[in-house]
Amino acid sequence: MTDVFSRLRSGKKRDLYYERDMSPDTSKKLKKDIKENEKEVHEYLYDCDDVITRDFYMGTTQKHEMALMYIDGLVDKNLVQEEILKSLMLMTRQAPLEHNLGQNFFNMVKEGLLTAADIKEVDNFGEVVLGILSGDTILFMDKFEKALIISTRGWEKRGVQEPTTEAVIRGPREGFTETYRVNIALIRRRLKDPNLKVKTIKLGRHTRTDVGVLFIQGIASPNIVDEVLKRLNTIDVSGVLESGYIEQMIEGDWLSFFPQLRRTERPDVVAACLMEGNVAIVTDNTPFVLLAPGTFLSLFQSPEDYYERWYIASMIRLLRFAAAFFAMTFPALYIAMTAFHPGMLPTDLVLSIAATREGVPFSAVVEAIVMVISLEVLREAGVRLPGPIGQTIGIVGGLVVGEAAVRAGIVSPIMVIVVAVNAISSFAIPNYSVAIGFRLLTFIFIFLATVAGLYGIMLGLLLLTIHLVTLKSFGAHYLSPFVSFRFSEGKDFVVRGPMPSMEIRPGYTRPKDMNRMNDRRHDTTEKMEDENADKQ
Amino acid sequence: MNLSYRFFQKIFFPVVLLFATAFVAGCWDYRDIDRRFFVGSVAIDKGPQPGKYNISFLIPIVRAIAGGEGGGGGGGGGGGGEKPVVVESTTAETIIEGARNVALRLNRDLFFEHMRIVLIGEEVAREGLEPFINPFMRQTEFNRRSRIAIAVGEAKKVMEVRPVVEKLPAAYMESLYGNATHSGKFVAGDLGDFLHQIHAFNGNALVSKITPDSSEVNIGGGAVIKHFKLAGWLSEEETQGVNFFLGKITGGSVTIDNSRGKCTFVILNAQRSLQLTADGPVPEFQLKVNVTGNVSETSEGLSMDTRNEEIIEILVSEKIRSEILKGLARLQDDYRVDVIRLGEFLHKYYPRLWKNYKDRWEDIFSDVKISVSVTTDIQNIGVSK
Repeated sequence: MTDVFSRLRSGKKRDLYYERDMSPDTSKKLKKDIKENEKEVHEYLYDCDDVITRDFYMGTTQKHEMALMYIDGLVDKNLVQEEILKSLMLMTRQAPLEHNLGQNFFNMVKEGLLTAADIKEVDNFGEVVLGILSGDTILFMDKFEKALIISTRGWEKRGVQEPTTEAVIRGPREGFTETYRVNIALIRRRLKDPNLKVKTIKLGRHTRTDVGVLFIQGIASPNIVDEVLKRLNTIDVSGVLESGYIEQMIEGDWLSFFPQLRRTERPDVVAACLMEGNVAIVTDNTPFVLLAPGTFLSLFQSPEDYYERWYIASMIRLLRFAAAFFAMTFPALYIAMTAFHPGMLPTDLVLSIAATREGVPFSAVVEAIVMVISLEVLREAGVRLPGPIGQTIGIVGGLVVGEAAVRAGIVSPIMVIVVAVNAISSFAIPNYSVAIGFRLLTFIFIFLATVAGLYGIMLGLLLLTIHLVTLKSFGAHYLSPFVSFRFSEGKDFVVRGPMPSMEIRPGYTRPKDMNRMNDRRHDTTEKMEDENADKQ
Repeated sequence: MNLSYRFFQKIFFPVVLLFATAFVAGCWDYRDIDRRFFVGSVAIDKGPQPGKYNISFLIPIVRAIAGGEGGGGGGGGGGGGEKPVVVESTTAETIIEGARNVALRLNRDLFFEHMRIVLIGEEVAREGLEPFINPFMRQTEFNRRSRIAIAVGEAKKVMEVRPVVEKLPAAYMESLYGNATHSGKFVAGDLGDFLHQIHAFNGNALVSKITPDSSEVNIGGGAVIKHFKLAGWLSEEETQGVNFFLGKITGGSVTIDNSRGKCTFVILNAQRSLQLTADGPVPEFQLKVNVTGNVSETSEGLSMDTRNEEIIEILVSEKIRSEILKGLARLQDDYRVDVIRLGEFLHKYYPRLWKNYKDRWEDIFSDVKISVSVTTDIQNIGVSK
């Protein structure tokens, strides 16, 4: 943490959050008098009625005046009572302290009396105030220019639940929560490796959100880690409420339709990506963790690709690519094929399409746009409404409106099929926000197909390819396994190779250690035992 | 980087380019699928004056084909009684002009990429095909995979046949040509083949013959085109013989009938090899045909045993040989036109010899001696012996 700040200071000459005039000041030292300290803190936290101050005396002698400060609701009251107040007020009565400990009294309290686990000594108001706001409890002692920050964070929080946006059939059911520490712990539980580094910085002038940068030293390329830290440190906003804020501020190309960071709710995905040399950005108050660098391929990956056997995984991944293609172009292809190149379709199909369009008042383009837009509206309505009503909307929209529109002859049944296939295809993409991006491209492709038919669609695909080829995410090619492709770099692109063949890590992150696994099937048992003995 | 700069570079400029292509390439030919007529067939007949043709277009009415259920719904009304196709005729000097004439009467564009068959009337074929086959080569819209046939009598009559088994006459006629594995008695081949032949060999071609009936057509037999003009017909047997010669047999059957009984031999495969045996002033050829197939039906007298098997093989060979000879005699003696590609064979494999024959080939062809030998293998004699 400190070297992040030092880097910051040396680099951009930006003010740190606690050096601003509005923020508590670390250079402002604590005073000797406990009442003055309390008063000073209250000046910072003026009109903050949720701040609780508790004055008390320690032990039987009532000689040592002390004060606790914390915010109601952010602390675990049991901890405050059991580990602080009880140990200081009651325990000391049973075994009275020697008198006149002098300066040692502070250490005595810190090291000998408080039974709380996590204690930190501070001497300035900046850290005191920040500690209070973060849910820690501050213990002031009279006649000492120091205070103790006791970690008592504990608030009402959601437990670890199954991730809703990335459900899997086979795989762990744990998802991230809104609590930073829990999230870090979920990752740490999967990577019992001292090389897993967690660098925490605080972002947002008002929110002071904890943002953790996680990487595995020895795998992650230092360039990417530095780049991530550099970009994070350029962020100076009033608040970071979700990792989306960070994502949008550190991505390289904000005109692109494609997200340049991967986001996930799943700790196993984060662990896997860390082992591929990615850098994870964990943000407090959100279950969504960002992974850099993102690649085009990662939009089509699901953790299940690695948990299932490779035939299944490969087939499903190919399906997703097909689905993505249809999610972008299906209505456009329909328009181009029917309005520009009906000669390319089989005669029977042409005649039946023409028959279904008989009597439809709008041209295919208008029909397509109206249908796609109304489907988007239905989807949006379904998402926003609470569960049971959302389903009703789906049924009403899909069945009743669609069926009625076809019956009334406003829309051709073929168009309903086209739009439905288009929508369903987009939902086959594992990442919801990416799927929406593809749906947006649908409109562009419809436009291109209307202007120039298949020629326009090809032109659009070419432009898209050009864009994707030039796109980079944190120095890594966005189309990474496809451009600068080396077969030996792990068989993990359009298809996923069998697990034993994925001997080295993918190269797009430029990992420092390429070796993912060793083939030890032909090693003798003695050799392996020897090596194990050496390790121990 | 400056946002507006990026905007111009990455979005504005490509979009402008896209629009530019729309105008430069003239690609604005958007037309909804229900605003087109998918012409199934074109028929060309003799017109009232010389140089004029009666041109007919076979147009499917999609509303009626879909059974009236689909698009119209409440408003459409009664698909049952509607005719699935209409024939639009006009008199014009060329096919394209004819299509334009029809546009005065029809509200939708004629679209030819789904054309299945081109029908040419007998009379107009005898006068000459040259004046009107050009658009089939020139226009991209004419599908080269469609079929072409010379109609016995008037071509429009063929078009007016309403098949009982299919709704669309054009699709019905076209699918008949897919029966090559069941019969070798017609000329398979599409418009592309025909155009290739007729321009490669002095306007000579073998082309399909089509005979209309009240609710059916028959594509058996063949039409011989000599110098862009119809020279005459081949019978079904002769056509099968010529197909054997050309190595185009992929199926069909031969029935033998002699004193001992009847037998139907189903052809599975026929291999042929053609060799030049003498290169005198008139070349001589040897044709060897090897036929394999099954015996699928015999009468009691020819029931299968080893001896009968040999007899059947010999009889089938004889029958096929006679068909081939009949076909060759017709072409060499009656029509005197090389549509069996002997000239092409010489040109390809004996280019030096061909130079000697080239100029007089039309005269030489009818004197060319072709010895034919056929061998037959019975592959499968059926379950019962």
